[in-house]
Amino acid sequence: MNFKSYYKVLYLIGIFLSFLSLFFEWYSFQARNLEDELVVFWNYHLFLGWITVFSPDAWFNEVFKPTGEQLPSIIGIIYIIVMIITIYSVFLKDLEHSEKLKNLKKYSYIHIFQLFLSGFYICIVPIYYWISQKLFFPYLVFTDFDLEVKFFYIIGPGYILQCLAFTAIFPYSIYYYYTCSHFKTISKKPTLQDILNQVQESIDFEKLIVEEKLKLQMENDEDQSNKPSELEVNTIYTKFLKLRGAK
Amino acid sequence: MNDHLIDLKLKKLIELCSQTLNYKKVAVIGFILLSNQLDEIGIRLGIRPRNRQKGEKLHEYMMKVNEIFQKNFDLSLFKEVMINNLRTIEIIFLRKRGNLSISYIKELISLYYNLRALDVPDLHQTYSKEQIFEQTPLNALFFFSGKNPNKHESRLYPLILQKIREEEKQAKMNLKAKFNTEEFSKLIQLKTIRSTLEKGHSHKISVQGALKDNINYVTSKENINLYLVLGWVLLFIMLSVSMIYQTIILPEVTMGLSPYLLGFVVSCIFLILVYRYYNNGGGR
Repeated sequence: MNFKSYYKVLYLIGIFLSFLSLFFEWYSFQARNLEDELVVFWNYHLFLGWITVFSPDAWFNEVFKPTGEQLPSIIGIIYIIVMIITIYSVFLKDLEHSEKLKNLKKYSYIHIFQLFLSGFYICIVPIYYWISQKLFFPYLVFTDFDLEVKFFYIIGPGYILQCLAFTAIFPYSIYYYYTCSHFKTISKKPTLQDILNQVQESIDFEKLIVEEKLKLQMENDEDQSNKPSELEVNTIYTKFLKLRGAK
Repeated sequence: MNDHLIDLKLKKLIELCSQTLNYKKVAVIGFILLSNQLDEIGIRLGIRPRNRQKGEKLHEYMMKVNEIFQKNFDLSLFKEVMINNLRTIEIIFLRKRGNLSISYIKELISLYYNLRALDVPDLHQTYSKEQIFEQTPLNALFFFSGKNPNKHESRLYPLILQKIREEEKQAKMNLKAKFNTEEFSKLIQLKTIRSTLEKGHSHKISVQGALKDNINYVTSKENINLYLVLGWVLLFIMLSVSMIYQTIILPEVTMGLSPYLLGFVVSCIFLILVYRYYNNGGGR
């Protein structure tokens, strides 16, 4: 296995982690009282939103429910589709053996889009969805002495997995994009002779020469057949002389 | 079949045909040779071959080639007299269904040899930018400037373009006086390089066949190690940006976040240094 294959495996691991991350909790907001009892519990899942272990009757828990804007789950669905396409491109449309890199260009853009989506989850989600709701990032423990409650703000395994996935996906995705944008495969160009052989009219000189030779030969033969032979001429001449008294 | 062999066989055929008085055969062969020669000239110049299916005549094709030449190089490849002579012979040949007088056949054969004497360069084979630079005196500009043609070339472009235009002008003048294969090749190369510089270049490396067999690709794929470092750098940058934003929005958490922020920033700087070290060829 060459080193590029290691990165391919790393990419696969990254995609797996990235996929897993979508189903783990991304953020956890908890509060415990002085007796260390859990009084507030909110976990954030990309597809489910904020979920809690308490029933809706637990008023103290409900008071602290994060109420701000939530991440649309369509982004998660798009991310899964992108992951499927990129896996297809990496394992079924091999870059190194392809003789038409132009056809892989679209996949290279999808790879970059995947990195953008991953970056969006890592950077934009905390800024836009958590920090704006005073959900501290990445980890903070804060004691409210008035309420006699200790608050825990902590990023979840989903977010950590996404961070790890980003670093695992990044090398191969960039390599894929770089290769598609910096190289172009060209099909073997026919040589001048190849084209000339297709275009030019061939002349069979040998055949033409033989034809003319035969024609010439036949003409000669015809002349010969019309002419009386030497022996015939001699015989006629002898007869002619005999008629005139020659012995 | 090479030209020498064609000459020997053609000579033999003409001798035999003159004995059999079959001049029609010589006329037909003369036209085929002329047609093949014109196709070769066209293809060598990167122009389509004569369209026989559409009944394009030889003199019409010659005029087409001249037209393209005139547009691109302000030159005529075939002389007007040559085209006119061929037009006359071709019309008689078609009207009399191949029966040409000996004088026309002689003219036809001499036209064929005149075309062969043109010895047009093979422009069907395209030149890469590097090849062009190597083959023209323009590379001297880069030599004296101490720059690589692929790097920092934009600053030299106006000067190079001016030099190319001057050389093109000179080559055209020389060609108008007398057609010369070398001069013509030079003109084509200059024109190609000028259009490359003017239109910009994609900087894509052309690879024939699969990538795995190409040396440029094999060398470039080693960069993948650096991409791993770059990935971690970007991750730390993204995390740091989120935290810096948080400290701006919620200053009360600055103290609590500072150890994380410091850790990320230091790691990021360290990795950037590693990236730069290996990117500049360190460790090799």
